[in-house]
Amino acid sequence: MQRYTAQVIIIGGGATGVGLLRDLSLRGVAALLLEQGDLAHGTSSRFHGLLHSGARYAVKDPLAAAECVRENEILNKVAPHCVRATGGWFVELAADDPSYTQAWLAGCSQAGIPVQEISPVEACRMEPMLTRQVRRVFEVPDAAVDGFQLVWANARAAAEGGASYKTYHRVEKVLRRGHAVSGVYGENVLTHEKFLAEGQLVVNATGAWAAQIAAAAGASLEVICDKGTLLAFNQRLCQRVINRLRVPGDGDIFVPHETITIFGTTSELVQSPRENEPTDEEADYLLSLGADLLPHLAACRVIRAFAGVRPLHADDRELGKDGEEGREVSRNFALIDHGERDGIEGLLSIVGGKFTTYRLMAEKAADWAAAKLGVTAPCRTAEVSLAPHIPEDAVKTAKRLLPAGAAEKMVARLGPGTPKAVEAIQGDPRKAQLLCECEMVTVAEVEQVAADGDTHHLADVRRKTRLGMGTCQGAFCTYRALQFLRHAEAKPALPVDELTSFLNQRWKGIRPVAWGPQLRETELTRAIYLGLLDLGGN
Amino acid sequence: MWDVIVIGEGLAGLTAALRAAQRGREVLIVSEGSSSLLHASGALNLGDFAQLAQLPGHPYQIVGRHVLDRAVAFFQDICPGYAGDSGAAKPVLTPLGTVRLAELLPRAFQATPLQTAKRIILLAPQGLRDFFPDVIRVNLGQAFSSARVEVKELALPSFRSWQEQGLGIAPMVYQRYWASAEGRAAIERLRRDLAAEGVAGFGETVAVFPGLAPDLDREPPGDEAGAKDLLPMVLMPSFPPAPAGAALAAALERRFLRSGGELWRGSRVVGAVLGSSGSYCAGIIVRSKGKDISLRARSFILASGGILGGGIVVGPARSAEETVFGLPLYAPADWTRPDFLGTQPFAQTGVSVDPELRPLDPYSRARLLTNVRVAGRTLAHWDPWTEHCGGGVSLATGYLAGELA
Repeated sequence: MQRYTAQVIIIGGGATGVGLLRDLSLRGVAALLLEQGDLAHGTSSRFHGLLHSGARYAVKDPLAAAECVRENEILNKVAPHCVRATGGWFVELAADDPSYTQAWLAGCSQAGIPVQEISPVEACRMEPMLTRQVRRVFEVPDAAVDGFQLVWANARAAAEGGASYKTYHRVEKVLRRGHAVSGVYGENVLTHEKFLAEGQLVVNATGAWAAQIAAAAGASLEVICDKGTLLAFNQRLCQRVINRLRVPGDGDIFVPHETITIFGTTSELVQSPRENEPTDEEADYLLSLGADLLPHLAACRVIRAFAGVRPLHADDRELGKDGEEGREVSRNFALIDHGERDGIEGLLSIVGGKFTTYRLMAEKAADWAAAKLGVTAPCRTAEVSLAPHIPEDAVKTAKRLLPAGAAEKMVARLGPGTPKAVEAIQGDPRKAQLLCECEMVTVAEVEQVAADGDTHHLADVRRKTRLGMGTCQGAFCTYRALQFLRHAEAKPALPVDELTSFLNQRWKGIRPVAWGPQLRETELTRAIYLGLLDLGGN
Repeated sequence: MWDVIVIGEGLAGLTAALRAAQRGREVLIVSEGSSSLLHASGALNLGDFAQLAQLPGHPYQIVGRHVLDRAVAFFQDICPGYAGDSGAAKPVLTPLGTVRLAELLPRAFQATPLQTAKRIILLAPQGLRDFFPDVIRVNLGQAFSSARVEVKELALPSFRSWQEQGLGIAPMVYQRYWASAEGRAAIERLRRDLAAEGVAGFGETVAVFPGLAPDLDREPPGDEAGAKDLLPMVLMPSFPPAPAGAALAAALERRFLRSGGELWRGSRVVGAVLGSSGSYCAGIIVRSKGKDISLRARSFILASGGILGGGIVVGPARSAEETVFGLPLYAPADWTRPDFLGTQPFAQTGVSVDPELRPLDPYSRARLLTNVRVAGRTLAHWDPWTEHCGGGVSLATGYLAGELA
């Protein structure tokens, strides 16, 4: 059995968990994070990638709106490499209620969200795909954020500060000594080895899984699982975030990321965080809604659909009302001290919240932990930059060795790992070849990431490099990447299970949008893996 | 005015066109892009005929065993490199060095010699793209456990500058070199040298050569008299675009042109002109070099492909359309299944036909166009990838369409 010790054990490797890990490391507290899958495999990467300005919550949730605009500013400052300051628009259409716009403007002003009106003519010139039914357009500081990158940046910074994290470590039990927690017990799901992690404090930052972890400690916790489905389009449909200016609802946000656009979302209460499979009906429904804002949407290529499960905080509300929908529940977060509530000392659950305010949630949780431990060091995550130091000459060399776009993407993804990849390419120019052409991922990059200690599956390589996330959805890069997953001797030369599971994960998102060029691509993928490689029926 | 216009130059279209030309018909092929055979490995699967012919509406059920047999014989006559017992499945390497079975192979693809080899030399042309010698070496070792597998790198002066710049060399690019006089001489020299240095007894060492297109017009050189001092060689197919598939398309095209046929490439069919009764096709409208041209023929063969080839286009809400005549399609309501590599209902989408391959309304079974025949992937009720019958269905339906046109 593996044993670990730390002052604080954090369960959950999403944005909040890694944010807390980093916050504690800056305060000099020894913390250990345990994650059941890969970092950011859950809700922290299954959203629209919108860094809220707060404007979306301006009418209904002024507190959340004010938090968002403050956090938005902070993240623009401390993590500029993860944020694209695209700006965002709120668009009122002819069919929308003008009185809502008045309330919204008042809410924005109260929350301190800067708003600037743009004329409809100018708006249609700047965003040609936008409907001509535009009545009023307002610009706010919405931005696009890369969930994977921000999570990795936090994990990396925390590790540099002496903290550690273990992926594929599933917590099964929260251990107690009398009334106080003493650590957690669980299993490494890759090796099936059991582990014991001892610590004075345990923080449950498991998002949609928070109720399960609380139960493992003998505490009860109500978390509403709210599934949101999104579509990824194969092109930049707009240059800035576009929101519909009305009571927040389904299918009213477009967020441009690099060469794609993410459009969402839906809201449906589900029983379990595992219910994150997008359906045909949801995809059709979203497309029909999106056409209000972008009328030519149906003609655009959809790469895939995906869904995340929002963990909404339900404790302080009357539950069981008929027809209650996820959007009616607060998007605020709450810290639940199980010592006060359930008599379990040293256990804290973080529930609710949203990606944009992950840092604030982490700060509050770290404040709690620091107070318990008698640590007086203040929070520094709003000041200390997360941007990695990348030597200037390594960036220059990368741009000389690779096509400009590929070089920039590699630097953004590898961060401080850039010089190593550049060196590898200098040593063997063949490693500059693009293994994944859609996302411009080089052989050197895949090789480096695959060799990381915490890379175990093709999907881990995907999350770190975006391999297989582009147009072809893995048709070509999957077989190309397999060779680099063989660093462990026990692995077979053709890991059919690994390949099948990766293709099935990709397929899960293509199924609801299996039409047009993406279905054609799917047929080519089937031709390669079933015909050429004969992997059917294995 | 042609006797027959064939739409599409995949395996079904080329086979149909060749058969019709051989029967003395004046034939034109119009093709939008390039042959779908460029994406094929060159190994053709026929599948389990008896089993597949039981499936409702399956093309094998429509054409019958004798048509498949005649089509295969016809094909082997055109491509002697595919000679051999066509019914039996034979081992062929995959581009990752595992072994699969296919019924109709270029003889040089047959992996049988590896089964008795004591030593396998995997030839590794430097810089060959989508070629993974480390993975292949291990897979070959597992598939042929009585053999020792070695990798021999081939450094070619012609590609030195590519090599220095770290550029990947696509199999199709390498193939151009291998097909040149210099390349052919290089292969022969290599095989002679390797045979001479053979440590094991002769015949116990076999080389595996990746991405090389077999010579389809002749028997492979390994079987020729006078080739005794050449090391036996098994060719390994490559990932697409693949030289062997391209070689097959080129061989069929050459033969077609020699039979007096005409081929218009880069010509998309944008519409059809129906006869006054609406029950036959009088002509098609082709967009070629920016102009719309009306072409007339006595009969037409639709071999424009399926979802992959572009003969069938699926729109949002999963509505499928046949792109040339707008024929009504069979399309399953249950569209996809979760296991990607398992059966996928959408793959059964296509045109329903009568025993002479003329299109029918899939639900009322009404006859639609009497002088149009449909062949290959445009047909409904089959899936080449899960049923392993892509070569067989394309050959059989192409042959029958050419026979009847």
